[in-house]
Amino acid sequence: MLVLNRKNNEEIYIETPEGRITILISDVDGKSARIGIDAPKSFQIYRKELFERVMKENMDSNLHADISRVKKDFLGGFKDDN
Amino acid sequence: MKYKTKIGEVEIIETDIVLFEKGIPGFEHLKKFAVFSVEDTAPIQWFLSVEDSNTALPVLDPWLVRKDYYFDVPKETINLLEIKNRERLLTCCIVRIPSNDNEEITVNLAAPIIINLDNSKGTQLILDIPEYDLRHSLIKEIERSKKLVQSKNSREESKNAGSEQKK
Repeated sequence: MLVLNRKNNEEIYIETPEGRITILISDVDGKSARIGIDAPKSFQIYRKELFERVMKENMDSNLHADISRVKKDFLGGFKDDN
Repeated sequence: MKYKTKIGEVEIIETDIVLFEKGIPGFEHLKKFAVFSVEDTAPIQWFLSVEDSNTALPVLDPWLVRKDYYFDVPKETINLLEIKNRERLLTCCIVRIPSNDNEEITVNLAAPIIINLDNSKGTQLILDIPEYDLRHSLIKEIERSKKLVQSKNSREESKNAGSEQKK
């Protein structure tokens, strides 16, 4: 991994075939840093933890898909509803 | 064409197959999915991989359980899916249905799957909105939506009653 030292308000450029990504260190306060990112529209930017939670939840839902329970409770709940 | 899936062998029309260029998180290697309805499990539908017979996620129309569900489609997604008309978007949310009756059935409102019906391209959004979580209790959501509809109805009734009095 490339590791660079940057101070407040300093930037990093990443040149990609789709355009430039600019990363700005907008504030550093103790253990946390505020980062601004400018990227071409095609780039999707996520917090890693959130992305990983979605990943785990998707895999978990594939494992926990009990059809018998859908028929039993879930449909019952819906019938009451209508 | 017939496909072997986790919910059995099913007939899927080619035009119903949706391309997920990047897969979905956790299933990045799979690109082709279909939202399949089974009468037996309605309103739960199945988000089926046509490439892997072990991948089938139960999904649901989110507005069935959260009447006021709303999110903005990010610009990069509008580009990615070439969305021209918001009304041609199909949205479904993944449900988690554990076998253990003590565990609640939950719905993921933070990461809806959206499909552009005009070109059969889809993606899973990751919404960074505090009120939407990966696990909302299905029972609580249904209760909440019922109350929401009731209070809306009663407001309308009192409004109608008011206008009748004026006559």
